Parts: sequence; structure tokens; C-alpha cells
Amino acid sequence: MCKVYVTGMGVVSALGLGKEENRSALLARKSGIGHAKYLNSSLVDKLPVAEVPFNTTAMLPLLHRQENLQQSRLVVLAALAIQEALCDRLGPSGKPSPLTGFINATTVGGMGDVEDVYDSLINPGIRDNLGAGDALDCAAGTEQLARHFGFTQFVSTISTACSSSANAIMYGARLIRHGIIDRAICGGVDTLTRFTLNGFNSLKNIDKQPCRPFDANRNGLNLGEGAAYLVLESEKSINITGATPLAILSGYCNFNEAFHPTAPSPEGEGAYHAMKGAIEAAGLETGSISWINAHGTATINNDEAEGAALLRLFGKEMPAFSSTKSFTGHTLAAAGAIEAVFSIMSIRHGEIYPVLHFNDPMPGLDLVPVTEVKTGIPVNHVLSNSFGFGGNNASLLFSKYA
Amino acid sequence: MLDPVYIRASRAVTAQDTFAANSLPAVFSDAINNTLSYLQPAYQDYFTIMQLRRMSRITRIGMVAAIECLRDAKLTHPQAIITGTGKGSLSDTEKFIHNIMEFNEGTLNPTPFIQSTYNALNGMIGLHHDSSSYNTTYVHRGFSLEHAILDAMMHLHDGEAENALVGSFEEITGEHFVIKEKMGYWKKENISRTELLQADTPGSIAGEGTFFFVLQKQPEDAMVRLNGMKLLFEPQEHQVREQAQALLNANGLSWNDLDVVLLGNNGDNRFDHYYSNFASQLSDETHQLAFKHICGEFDTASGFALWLTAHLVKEQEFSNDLLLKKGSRMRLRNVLIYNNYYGSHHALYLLQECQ
Amino acid sequence: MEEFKRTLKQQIIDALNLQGMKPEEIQDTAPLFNEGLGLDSIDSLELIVLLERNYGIKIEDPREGRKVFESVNVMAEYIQANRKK
Repeated sequence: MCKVYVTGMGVVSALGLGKEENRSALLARKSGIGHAKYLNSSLVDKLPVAEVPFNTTAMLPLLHRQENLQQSRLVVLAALAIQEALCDRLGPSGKPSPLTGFINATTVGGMGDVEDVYDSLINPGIRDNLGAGDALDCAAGTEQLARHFGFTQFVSTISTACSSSANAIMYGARLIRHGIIDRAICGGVDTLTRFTLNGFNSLKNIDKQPCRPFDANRNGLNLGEGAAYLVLESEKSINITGATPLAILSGYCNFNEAFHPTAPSPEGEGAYHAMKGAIEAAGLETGSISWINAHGTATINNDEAEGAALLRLFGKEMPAFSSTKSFTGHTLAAAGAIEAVFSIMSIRHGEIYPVLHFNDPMPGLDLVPVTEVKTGIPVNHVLSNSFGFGGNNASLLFSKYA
Repeated sequence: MLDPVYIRASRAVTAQDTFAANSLPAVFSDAINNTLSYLQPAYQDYFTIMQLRRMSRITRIGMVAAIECLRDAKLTHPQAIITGTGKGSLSDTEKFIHNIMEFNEGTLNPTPFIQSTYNALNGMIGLHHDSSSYNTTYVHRGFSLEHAILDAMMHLHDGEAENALVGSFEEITGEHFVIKEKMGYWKKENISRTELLQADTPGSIAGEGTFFFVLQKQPEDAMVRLNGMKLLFEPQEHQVREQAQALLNANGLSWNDLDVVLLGNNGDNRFDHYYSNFASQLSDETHQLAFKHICGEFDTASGFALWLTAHLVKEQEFSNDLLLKKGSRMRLRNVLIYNNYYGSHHALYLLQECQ
Repeated sequence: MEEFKRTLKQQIIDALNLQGMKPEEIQDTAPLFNEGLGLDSIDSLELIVLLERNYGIKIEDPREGRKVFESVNVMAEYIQANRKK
């Protein structure tokens, strides 16, 4: 089977626009979690979130081209991340494009655009905002972006809750390996919406303070927003584009654990098999892993289950692990892709990003995450976890491109 | 190229009585106010009160269809569960939007939020069948089912799985009908399903449908073989023809080898030209069938064509109610499905009788 | 109290959408969770909504809820002692 290379990446999160702003914030231990300025919700004073710190209109001019794009926060965040991902891999011009697929992921799609006008949409007598009617699904944003960037040869959208973009990256890689496409732009986007904020609030798993992944006193997650995309290419595609690989996507695994509609099994059965499967797919041993960018949402259930799975898989040889959700919040469908970008940054710069607000290990689990930035160390293989509702667990493994 | 896969079992819940006997009924229900709504199966036979408590309309239908499909295939634990849906559980999404407004973002019932998640049904099927496996959900309108099938084909090709449960589910609600009505998806005047395909006006009739298939790598006890698919997003008309030609060529077939072609005509005169142009390639001997006057139009309506094809090839007969143009072929061996969803998502499936 | 418990049982049935179940099928003393009626963490969140909407009782921590929802008897007593409406 052919190798799948990552040749471009772009990211937008509460930490900033682009890889450099995100990396600087991670290195400075500066979290993006705070109180929302732009989200229209009465919960914003009560529940901290990680909001991208600009309004949509201010971000629109940052796009090199704006045509075909509606002023939708979802689309603008995604477009900024894709634009950055494409700049990374600009090869010699004048060569034909490889067959390119666009695999997007989102949990609620254009809900942020729909929820403010929903009453008028369902009123047969009101004809305003008709266009928003189409945004009430996951594919609307994907199609606008596909047209804008010219990725119309092959488009898809995945929605598997919090593991969505990890599954999008996996699908892209598998399509490349089977020769169905040569190159894939894969990732995900979600914006903060009243729908999701109230949804997680109804599950009573939002912390009223900044979240504390893997801490004994953790009390839930903070929602975030953002977008991230990777450019994946086969060797054949690289021969056409002349792009330089940033890393190799060396392994991946999706494993559904069939335990409960929303909660993971306390033993982290799904997490264990997803991580183990990804490492085996890459032909590696657990001892090769330099860093685990854990799912680490800081909910009571997730961190306990993921912690148990980590101990079961790695035992006493626990690699450095942390959760960057203490910086970006939980960005739902974007999380897998944002954390994939952070994983590759870690490999390229030889540094590991810490978890914030950790004080005490979880009772019964001898696990201490990385709490300080580590720099100047070799990072060869990074495992990135994304676990979601419905028992959907996905792990991605990125390796250094020699 | 991916290896062909075999459809071992196939189930459909639609507005028509397709589920109980797993066949097309002799008599069809007509659309009411331009909507063909589900004829709902008897859930009580399948679930306890406790199991039913958090299942909404589409979840119940999806579960029942998946359960029977797996039973037909004599399979207890599918090795992959992959679904496609354009809109997921619209009822739950709408309910939660209204709850947020009604209770002013106060304390809200979590169940509609959980069930609104597009992959909720996948998780429930996994739970019900105690299947820990590969599990994912595609949500790309008229490509949702197709990506689910393509994903399964890759798994079967690699031998990562011997079988996969693949399906699609869709519902229409009163509110969503209004949203789309204003956007021109439906006909302005009420129309009978029997007149739909000759209407020559814009818009179609709304429908809903849930389809499950067991795909497998081996031909044993299969209904039909799926040789391949092609997906085209917003193509030029000639590209559809070229891709169909490529699909046929790749399988050593020509247009003349097609015994049956199922076309996604939905009575919307803005998109009829795709089908008429496509049909102009076909031999007079090829039967041309339509299906959306039976199931209505929705994101994953191609599932109905796939279900029909599996039965048509296995039983070597089809209902005259499906006929657009009668051909002369007696043996129904090679079938091509061509569907498009409002001119945007074009899908081609090539199927063949198992040897 | 007996009448109240019957009302409460009906409210539980409605809140959890236990279609076809009758109030008398729920025992006063039987555990509502796990081995008893078989409720889980999501039901517990639904019951918290029930307490707030019907009785004006706010429970922030789901773990506290689980103690209150031990059985219909415990729940009824808790409501009578804390109800705001």
C-alpha cells in the first residue's frame, strides 16, 4: 500500500488565525478559553468558551478571494484554514492538478446561520433568508468551499460527532491508498452555536471554569470553535505537485465500542482498540510513540475512560501525553483536524505542548500529563485521539518525514 | 479499481408497503399534499418499552430496517456499520431548536440533542447488535449513501471486513417541507404520483425512505453484484454520459448490454434533460424504469433504486408501474442506476446478476 | 402522599417516554436505576428537567440527582421537602 503524506496544513482556533499564532499561544501557555463576544446566547456569561477572537466580517477580507462565499462564520473559518493549507504545498506552477478530493467534517454544519432565522424559515408567509434554508445540513458549507477552491471532482462530508474530522482524514487517506483520488483536502469545522452550547449544557458536562483535562477535580469541557485542514497526497500526486511532505500519516483506526449512546465504557475499550489499531497499522510498537495528543475533553467520563485505556496500552512506559483542549476548548468536528495540525507541529519543531490547569491525578489512575512546554526534543511519532458520541473512537498516527 | 461487492440482503421502509413482505406491493399509496410519508413498521414487535424510550421516528425505522436486513443475511455482528443521511433526525433537530427558544436556554431535555447527532443511529445499531467495529456516517446530501457504499467497498476490498451493514435514512417533517417549499423543491400545485413524471413543471414531491443492505466480499447467497459506482458533483451533461461509458468499459460492457436502466426522474422539468439525454444513449431493447413517483424525492432516494435492483435481478421481474419505456429483454442481467439530486449530485451504479 | 406518588410515577413515565407503562408497574421502593427500572445517566438528566419544570427544584450536579432518584419514595420525599411550586 502506498504511503500517505501530509503536504499542507492550516488551522484557525481561539488561539488565532494560522499555524504561527496557534503555536505561539501553545508555547506561551496562553489559553483561548474565555467569555464569548460574538456568540448570540444568554449562556455566555455563565459558560466559558473558546471563541475565534474576530467577528466574521473582519475575517472575510483575509481571504485572497471572496467570490462565491456567503458571509457565514462556518464557511469563513474553514476557508481561512484551507487557504493556509494550500499555501504550504504550492509546487511549481503550470503542472496539471492531481485528482483532488475534498472531505469535510462538521457536527451541525450551518446551524449557526440557521438558528437566528429559524422562525422565519418555517413561516410559509415569510420569504426572507431563503438561502439559509439550505444551510440546515452538513453539506451546504462543504459545497460552497468546494466551488470556491475548485475541489468539485470529489466531495464528501462526514459527521460522527466529536471524531468527525479524524474520520475525514482517515477516509481521505483510504481513498488515496485505493487510487480513487490522488490528493485530499481533509479536515473539519464547527462554529459555536446556541444549539451545541445548550446541547452540552443539557448533558451537564460543561465546566463553568476553564477545563482541567485529566485532573482529579475536572468538571466538564468548554466548547470551542475552529477549523483545520490537511492536504494529503500520494507519491504519485507529489510527483505532479512537487510538494514537500511535512509528515507521514502512518496509521489510523476507527473503532466503535457499542457501550452507551453518549458515555464511554469506564475501561475505555473503544479508546484502547483505536489507539492500538493505529499503532499496529503503522507497524510500530507502543514504545515508539513520542507524544499522545489525547482526546482529553475534561469530562468526568472521557478522561477516566481514556486514562484507563492509556494505562492498559502503555503500562509503565507511558509516553508524554496532554490535551490541547485546555487551550482550544472542544471544537467538536474540527478537533481531530486541529489536533492533527498540532501533532505535526510537534514533530516538525521537536516540542510538546502541555495541558493547562492540571493539579492532581485522577484517583486510581497513576497518570500525570505533560504540564510544561518541552522543546528541543526528538518527536518522531505522535498519536492523536478523537472520541465521540455513539461510541465512535478514532486515532490517527503521524510520523516524521525523514 | 475496487473489487465488486455482493448485496446479500436488502430492506426498505418507505411510503409504500415495502417492508413487511420485503417486496414492492401491488397497490401504491399516493402522495398527500405532495408528500409520500412513511408507512411505519410495527415497532412493538422489536423493542421493549425501555429500548423504545429514546428512539425517535427515524431511529425506530432505521433500527427495524437494520435488524431485518441483518436477519435476512443471517448475520448477528456486522463487521462494519456505515450509514449515509442528508438530514439525519430532523424531528429531533427541530425539537431541540424549539426547546432552546421555548425555555430560554434554560434546563433542557438532552434526548433530542443526542438523537439529532447524525451518527446516533449508527451507534444504536452497534449497541443493539453488540457490534464493536468500524462505524461511520456520511452526510453529503445526494452522495450520502454512495460514500457509505464506497467506504464499505474499500473495507471489503482490503479484507478488513468480510461483510458490512450499509444503509441510509431520511425523513421529512412539516417544518422542513415548508423550508424547502419556499426554495422551490416541491411542486406548487398538488399532484398525484401517477402524473408526476409527465408534469413538465418545476419541483417534485417530497418523500422519505430508509434502506439497509448487507454487503459482502463473497458471492454466496447474494442477491446481486455491485460492480462499481461513479459520483459526479455538478457535472456537465456530457460528463455523466462519459463516466457511465467508463464504468461500462471498465466492466467489459457496452450500452447495448444493459437490460434495465433505473432513472431518478422526479418530474422536475429543470432537471429532466439530464435523464432524457442519458436515455438517448440506450438501446430500444433496454427497459427504462423510474422510481421517484413511488418513493418521492429526498437526499438518499437512490437507496430505493438499489433496493429495487436487488429484488428485480433476484426475482427476474419488475412492476409495470415502474416503466418509463418498455424494452424487450427477458433476462435481467445488467442494470445501471442513474440518479441525480436536483442536478447537483449525480450517481451511477452498475449492477450485475451473480453468476 | 400515595396520590402524589401516583402522579409522580405518571410524570416519570411521560418524561422518560416509557410508552405503554402504567404507574402501578413502578414500585415505590424499587431502585429506579440499574437493576430496578433500568434507568441510566441520560434518564437522570431527564428527571432533573422534570423536577425543575414541575416543582421548581434546580439540581446542578447530576451526581446529586442520582441520590434523589434512588426510588420513587426517596424522590417523592425530596420533592415534598424542596418544592418551590
